[in-house]
Amino acid sequence: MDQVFVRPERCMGCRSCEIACAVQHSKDKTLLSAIMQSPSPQKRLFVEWADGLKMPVLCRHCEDAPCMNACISGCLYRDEKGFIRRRKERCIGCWSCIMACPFGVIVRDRHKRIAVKCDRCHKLDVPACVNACPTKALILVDVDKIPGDRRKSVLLSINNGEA
Amino acid sequence: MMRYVIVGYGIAGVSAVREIKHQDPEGRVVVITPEPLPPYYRPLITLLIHSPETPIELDEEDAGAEFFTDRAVALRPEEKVVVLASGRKVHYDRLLIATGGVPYIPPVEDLPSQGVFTIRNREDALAIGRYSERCKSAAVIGGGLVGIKTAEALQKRGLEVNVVETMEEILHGRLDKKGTGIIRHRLEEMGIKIYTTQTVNRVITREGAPRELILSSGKRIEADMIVIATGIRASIEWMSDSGIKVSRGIVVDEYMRTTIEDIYAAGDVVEFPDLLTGSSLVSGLWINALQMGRVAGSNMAGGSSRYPGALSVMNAAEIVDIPFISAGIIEPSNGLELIERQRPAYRRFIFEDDVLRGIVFLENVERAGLYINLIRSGRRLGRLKEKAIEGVLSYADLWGQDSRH
Repeated sequence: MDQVFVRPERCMGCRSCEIACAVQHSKDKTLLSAIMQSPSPQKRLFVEWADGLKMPVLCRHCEDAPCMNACISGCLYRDEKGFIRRRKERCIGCWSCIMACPFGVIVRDRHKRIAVKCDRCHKLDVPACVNACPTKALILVDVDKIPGDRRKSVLLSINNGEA
Repeated sequence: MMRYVIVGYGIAGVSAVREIKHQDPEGRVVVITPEPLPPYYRPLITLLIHSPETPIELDEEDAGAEFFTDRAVALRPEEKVVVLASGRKVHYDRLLIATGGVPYIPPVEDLPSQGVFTIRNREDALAIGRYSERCKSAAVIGGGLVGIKTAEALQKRGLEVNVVETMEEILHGRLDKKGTGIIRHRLEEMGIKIYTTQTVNRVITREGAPRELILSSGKRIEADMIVIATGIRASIEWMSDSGIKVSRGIVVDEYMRTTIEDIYAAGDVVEFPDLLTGSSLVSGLWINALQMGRVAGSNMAGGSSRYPGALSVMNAAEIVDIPFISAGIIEPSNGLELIERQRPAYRRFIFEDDVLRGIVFLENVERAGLYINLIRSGRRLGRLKEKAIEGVLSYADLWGQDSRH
């Protein structure tokens, strides 16, 4: 399964990923119409600044997803590709998923009063955020294609921005 | 072939069956439940009061189990048998008790037989909705989360709604005083009448149905129907002479084993220690029941997974359009520091030095999970404490610490 990896050492904090995310989740999926759209389309990942560190924080589509376990309305589910997605019409705005997500990447749509989260751009081969990143701080890695005995060292070197 | 018997098919029973079928596909699973299938999202039932068509079913395709629509009335561990109301005896090799809770009904004089409801099951909520069609006013006894959601739902149906609560505040134990005050104010603005520090002394009836309630203060309120929502207690009477150790709920260890071999328990029926305080806790939280059921199911099928425990306060909800999330210790006591922020929205933090012990977030609930994770881990925050209080703490801060240590 393809996974999005974050390499903070490469992140300049330019927020291109945030813009691409919001545009991808807008009505017409162009920058101009996204800017005009009201209410504004919401991004689902967040460029954060910590001590000497910048990085996009985004949904990991966890294996034992706390948000999905906590969902009391049958809204969150794992799709055939393994992504945690919403059945929007079933969200009741109880915020149990926000209570459960340890990464803090689920937010509220204040107008529709439903939860908003990363859908991994399930219709695209490459998620909009990864595609938009100019420094490859966000990359897509097919973890299953890395041989098991090398997986840890390869992933560590990716994480350190080397690969 | 192992024969697993599951008593109760709420989320604890459902997740146990999933886990057993996953680990021991050959095993035979028998489920005993008095409620009609399919299982459902119990926290959603109050929605049925005003919108009976709301989909609340759980997505359980073929669960691979055999179902008895019946009620367990006795447990005989020496014979390894559960006795059902129909007289049938069901033998088990491994048993899970997941019978959940039953409504607690406070003593009220002259409670009529008609127009009085409790709310625990899908059928209860649907019956309340149907009956409310002939009512102009209602009284909800109990101002907890279920009581308040019920009051909101009845108001949406156009009834005059009164809430009677014994404690000083509604949502007692789920929010701090200021938080419940804000929500109470909004409820009252919307026309729901709330009577706290009061009990119902008497019910005046007409033709066998409620008409008026007389409260302990002497106040009289009109109510054509009554919903009792004064909490639940563990459903343990049926197995009380089995010899299993119980107190407020069935006592289990971290493997969800009861004190009798081959008998496990999970969900709202058990008690276990609070992660922070160690005090005994009977949870009514969906995610806790789901996790307990999974741990029990795994261990019944030969695994050895442990339940990490839970916080007795952990809530997420939205009432009268006010979202809130609370967790951990929400009232300061000895050695704990209380920090509050009013802007941009009300937030309260309880710290022990630089360790976060509890939060209350109103309106702006975002990133609550990040904070709750800090409560659960007991991590020292050091310089990050300030960022946490100002609401600008992010996973990036924690990621940095992880990789440097």
